[in-house]
Amino acid sequence: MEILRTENLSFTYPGSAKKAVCDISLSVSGGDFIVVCGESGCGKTTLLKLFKKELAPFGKREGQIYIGGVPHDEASGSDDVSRIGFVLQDPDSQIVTDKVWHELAFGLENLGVDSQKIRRRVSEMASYFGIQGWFRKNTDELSGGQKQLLNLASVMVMQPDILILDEPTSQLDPIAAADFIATLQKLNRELGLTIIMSEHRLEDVLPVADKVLLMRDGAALYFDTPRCVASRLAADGDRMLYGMPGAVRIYSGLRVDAPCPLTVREGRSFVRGNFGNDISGYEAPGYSHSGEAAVELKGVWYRYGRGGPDVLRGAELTVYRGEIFCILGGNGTGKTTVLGIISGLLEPFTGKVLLNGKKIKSYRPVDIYRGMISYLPQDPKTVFVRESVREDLMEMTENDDDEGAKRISAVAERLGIGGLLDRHPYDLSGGEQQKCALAKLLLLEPKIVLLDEPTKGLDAFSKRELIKILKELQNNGVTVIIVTHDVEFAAVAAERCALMFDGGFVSADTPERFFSDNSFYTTAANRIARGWYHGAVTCEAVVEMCRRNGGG
Amino acid sequence: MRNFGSYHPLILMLYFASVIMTSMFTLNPVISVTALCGAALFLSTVSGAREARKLILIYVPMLILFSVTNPFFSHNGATTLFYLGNNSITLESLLYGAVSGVTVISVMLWYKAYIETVTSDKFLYVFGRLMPKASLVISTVFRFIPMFLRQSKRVASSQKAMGLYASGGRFPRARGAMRVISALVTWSLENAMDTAASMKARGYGQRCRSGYSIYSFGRHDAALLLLCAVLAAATLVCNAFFRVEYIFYPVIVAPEHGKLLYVFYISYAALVFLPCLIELKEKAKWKYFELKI
Repeated sequence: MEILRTENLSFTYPGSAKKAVCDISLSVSGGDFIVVCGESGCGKTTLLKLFKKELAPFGKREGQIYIGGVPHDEASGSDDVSRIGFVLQDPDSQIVTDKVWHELAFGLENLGVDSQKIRRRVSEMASYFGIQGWFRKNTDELSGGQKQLLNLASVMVMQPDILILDEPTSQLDPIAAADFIATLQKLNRELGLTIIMSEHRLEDVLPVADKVLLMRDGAALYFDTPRCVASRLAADGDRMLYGMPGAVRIYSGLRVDAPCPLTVREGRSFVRGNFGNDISGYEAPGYSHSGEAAVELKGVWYRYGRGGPDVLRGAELTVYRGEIFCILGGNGTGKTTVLGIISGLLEPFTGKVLLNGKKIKSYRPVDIYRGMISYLPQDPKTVFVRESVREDLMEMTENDDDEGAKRISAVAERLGIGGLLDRHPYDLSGGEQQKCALAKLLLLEPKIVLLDEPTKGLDAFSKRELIKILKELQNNGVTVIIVTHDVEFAAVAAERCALMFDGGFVSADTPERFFSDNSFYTTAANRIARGWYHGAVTCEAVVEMCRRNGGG
Repeated sequence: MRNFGSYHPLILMLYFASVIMTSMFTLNPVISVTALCGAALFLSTVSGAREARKLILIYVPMLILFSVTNPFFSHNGATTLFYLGNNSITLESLLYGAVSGVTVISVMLWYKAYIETVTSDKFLYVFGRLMPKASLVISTVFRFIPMFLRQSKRVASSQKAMGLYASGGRFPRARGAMRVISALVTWSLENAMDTAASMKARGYGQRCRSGYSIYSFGRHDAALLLLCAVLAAATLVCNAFFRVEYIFYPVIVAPEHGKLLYVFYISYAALVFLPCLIELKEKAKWKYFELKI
């Protein structure tokens, strides 16, 4: 049964000539799981917000939206509120109250539901989502994954027919994100809830979706089953492929007449069914380092506060000049702490930190932070303090003369942010903010760049751009140390990867050797190629191996 | 476990108010000592003997200080013990100091007990019943403050890592701090817009709000309320129709013996030892249940 339909829906923001949403007609049946994807700024968020009357942006709307057969404009306010639930991107800012139980009850309080009924619904939802353990906690004490789960539960408490989510997992780590998506899938399967979500992380979502809406420049490029959309993208060689699951990317590189695989399992049988493995070992380009250590940690111990647990327990690390080094690991293993220590923001209570072979304490702060080390924290917003990107960049040049302006335009061109200079930093998308923040750091001409979770909230295309920028930095002799959860990113970007565990570095090796030895903590491409081709951890490597072996 | 703190917040607040008020406004050594013992016992059952001992170590010197210093400032009273220079140090004044010292300390201990049992969210709940709008505002403020502090730390440290404060000097430092604050204001506004969207998406401002809380008023609460009300009413009535206070100056006059005085003492003692008895009863009950497992 049709639950939501749009007819020639268009939307234009005031003062803009371009349509943010352009002529979209689609029909959603009750119980469908729909994934909306597309590059940042393609109009996903605007489209989703148009479905929810209370959040609809201000501007000119054309066309019509029908919810359950009723035109959107005619639906009465309170019906609509409980009918459509909306979960936003940032887990933190959408929490309203200070207690978990109060947050759950908030929506029902607004509808004037009586206490007895609220109590029943709140307890039901808390049990369903496994919130009992932290029901009485302060919302501030929760982890990011718990916060987003709370946001979902406090929308579900209102018993919506349609659930809309705008990139709900973009701020979560992969494990919390997979849990969240599994919860959505459970809601869809067990309650028959209609779900419309926009998402960058398609590896987990695509296989469970009924339909995919692929948007470009505000228009619907495809609206079809995931397999159809994937095979059409593969046939076109479209750049949206970068965001597709590993199996789809391998399939597209090979052009075989077979149905497009979506999951790792399908990918494995696709590769095994169509290609031999006479040549089974992938030879990665050799690794060599400059021999000069840029950063060294020797027996570093660290804890937050006297009574706290040891976060680092005798950590040893050597990063050579001019390499891109990725530090991987689960939550709370001390990855961010390591960056704090390398940058001198945190001081280890014992152990040595050497920068270019000299003790970090022997440098003055000015020497470290101006021209030696730059640190890009997880939230790029914390880097900006001015009203426009240009003003923010000017902070770093110290001189307002022509030379400063020249340096700014050089960096802007290098990072491709020339068009963003006069915008307010907060108005930019996550990827654009990341690039502008990086530009600000590069004006300091650092020799060592530290990045904390740089791919958080980025779409696949921005990730590729980031890799390109990092490789270019590397060519200029800059050392890059990245802390990340994103194994797919690390496999492509890094020269060496290390896993953090139990307060130390477990192993540091090239991505090929590092990932091919792991069975769970590895890329989708490697999981597809495992046991068939050894050492292939990226999609490109798997494609190359398939080509060399030929059909078998 | 149904300990004293798990009763309905409104009853708890009424209870503490009546105990503290009676102790505070009745000048009577029996009442003061009873209140002090009740508070000390309750605190030691709730937070353990070690905590209680620590409190006594702090408060005993204070008590001595009160009773010793009072005679130096107040020279009323008929029974002179000795002269200090031209001033007489009287027995009445010494005892008055001791009794008021006990009163003050008992009130402080009861206040501590209040803080431990009626936590801020319980207080807000009772307060919110009276003013629903204000309580939602307070709740959102409590939500926002820790988030704001965290963000300000993050901004400060990432600015530090970009060398904003690195080149010393007081003036650049102050200018840097101003920048951080202005960035935080922008961040707060952005954040508030998201919060507002999330509130609107959940129907805020569409209809008359109802209030929900996790505290329910059950049979146990009614029983406790009734008991407390009877005891508190008894002390109040006695206080109104009978002189229960001691007079210290010029000579100490105890209240006349009478049935009402004993009713007063007994009902106040019952009121004061009630939480401690509830705690002990629950502990014993649970110990017994545990042994049965």
